[in-house]
Amino acid sequence: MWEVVQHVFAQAWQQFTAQSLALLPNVLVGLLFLAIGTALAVLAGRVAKFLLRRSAVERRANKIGLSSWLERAGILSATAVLVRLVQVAFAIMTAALVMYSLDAALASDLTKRFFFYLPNLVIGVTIFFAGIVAARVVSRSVLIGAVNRGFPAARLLASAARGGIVLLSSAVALEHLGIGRTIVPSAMLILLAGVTFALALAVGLGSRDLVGRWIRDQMSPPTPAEVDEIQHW
Amino acid sequence: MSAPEILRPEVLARLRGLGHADIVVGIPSYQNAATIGHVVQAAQTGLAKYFPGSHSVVLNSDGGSTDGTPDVVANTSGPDADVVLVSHPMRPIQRLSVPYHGLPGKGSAFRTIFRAAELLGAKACAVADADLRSITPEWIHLLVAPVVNQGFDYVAPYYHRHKFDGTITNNVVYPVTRALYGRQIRQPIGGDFGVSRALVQHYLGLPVWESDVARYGIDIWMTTEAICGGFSLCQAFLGAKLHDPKDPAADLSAMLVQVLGTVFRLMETHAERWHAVHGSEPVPIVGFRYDVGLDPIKVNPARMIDHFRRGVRDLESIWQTMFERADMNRLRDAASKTVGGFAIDDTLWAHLVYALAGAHHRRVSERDALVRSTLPLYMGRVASFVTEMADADAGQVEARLERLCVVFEQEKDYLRARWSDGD
Repeated sequence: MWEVVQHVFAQAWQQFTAQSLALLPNVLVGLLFLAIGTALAVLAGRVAKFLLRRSAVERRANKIGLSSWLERAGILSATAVLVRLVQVAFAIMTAALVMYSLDAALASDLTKRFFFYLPNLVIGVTIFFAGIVAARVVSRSVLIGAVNRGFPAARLLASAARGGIVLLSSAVALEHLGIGRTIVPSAMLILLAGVTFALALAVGLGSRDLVGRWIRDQMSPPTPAEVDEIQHW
Repeated sequence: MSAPEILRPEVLARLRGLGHADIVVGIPSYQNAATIGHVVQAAQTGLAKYFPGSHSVVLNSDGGSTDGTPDVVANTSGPDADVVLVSHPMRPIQRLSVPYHGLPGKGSAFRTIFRAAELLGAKACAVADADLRSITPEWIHLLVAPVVNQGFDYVAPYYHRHKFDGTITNNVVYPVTRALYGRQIRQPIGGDFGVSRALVQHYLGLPVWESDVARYGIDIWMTTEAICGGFSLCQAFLGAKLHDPKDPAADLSAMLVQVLGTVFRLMETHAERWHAVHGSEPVPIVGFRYDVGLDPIKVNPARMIDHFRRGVRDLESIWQTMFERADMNRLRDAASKTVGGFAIDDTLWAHLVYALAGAHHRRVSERDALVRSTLPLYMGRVASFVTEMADADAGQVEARLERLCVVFEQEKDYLRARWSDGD
């Protein structure tokens, strides 16, 4: 019995080492590609940054009003975005090269699948990130606006706005990626229905007076005694 | 290639029909039917009384009012000779009401007035707000005479106001403008002023008329350009400034964005100049100074302090991107005080304003959002000022503001450091 175990173990080890040794050059080449790709991505980023600064992209973006639009979306530098895009392109190429060096057949298959799936992926990721950016912008605006209007639950409101937008954009992105085509919308509906039902119960049963008073407080203008007559300029 | 004509052909034809004018008084307006008649009458009377031998034009530049503002201008009667007491024949004063074109806003109205003054070859141009209730014929004299008789290029207004009015001017715009450019113009965003022909041409030649300045911020832009252009400046004491009350529901944060946004953008345009300025020098005041009785106004510091506290509680994440840790700690400390002990001192206030300017310049976040987020700070500062000056008279308030301005000048190195942070 012990001899059989020893034999199986030796055979497995032999196969493992043989295959590992056979794969070692590919791994080394893959690591080399990874190192070169990383270095090239960093270098390309620096070159792109230098060239973009020299061509005064920020000033041009500012001039045509693009900067203020990007600012509203939480993007503070057009140059930084373009540099990042160049680096991402290098990273994708490096990843493809590393995969090809490890297993050409598998890489070819994955590449094919990747390109087949790419449009959905691009749209899904774009929707998700657009949602993140929109959520950030909206929640900040809601927070500032609510504080300046004297709304007591400003942070709660801002968080709700952000959460709602992120949730919605995630659901739409997943839908585009073909993940949980029925589960995600159903979950969203259940969640929405649950929140609505809970609010309806709260208003209808226990908290009608409380909610009414709260809404009145939020909506009613300040009494004359509270109004300032200062002309700020 | 010459610049495209901004005036409509029919307006051009009317101005060419007038030929020449020595003085143009411009009145920008939008929905001011209730008050503009008084302003037009004061302007006409002032011109007749103080400049009887001059060819004068009163020009209303209207932004498309639907309340009959242009009709009021057209139907306002001329000056009564018995009231004006002219001692020699008076030249007729022409009166025009023209719509302005371009971006909606006061800047476009000014552009039309300046272009008309340039076309008419006017030696001096005065502008008065259409919502003024306290304007008198003497205002026209005080705004025009320094240009015509003394060779000044820019006459800024100098008003008596209630000690708690004009808080954004007193606590932000005046101290900042003075510290930046080194000239003590007390009302840098007053809406009434006089300018020379040279300055009119300078303004018209600057590439701002299609920008946000044309929508808002024109007043501080004019003052800043007059200083930075090296023009000779003076101030005219006009007495009390009373105008139609502003809409109490108007969004104060939007107004803050308009004024401060323009101040900060101008800092970028003139960065080299203000970096080199140290201290400040007075600007001469013309006109007889007298005290004015002003009605008391209601102020509620407790509500402002509440607003400040909400800001400290909820906007910390935004403020941390602009302000230093020590200043954030001092804000938290101020928020914990009772109404009686509440204060935002001058040095902290100067740091906050300068840090905001630096953050705006470095675009640490969306610029308008940064400025909007500081409304609670402004309210806190106003509350602090109101509490401190509750029993002070006008002279004491002026002395207090002088001390604030000196602090802004002393802390200018802090601004220089924050401006170039991370460069």
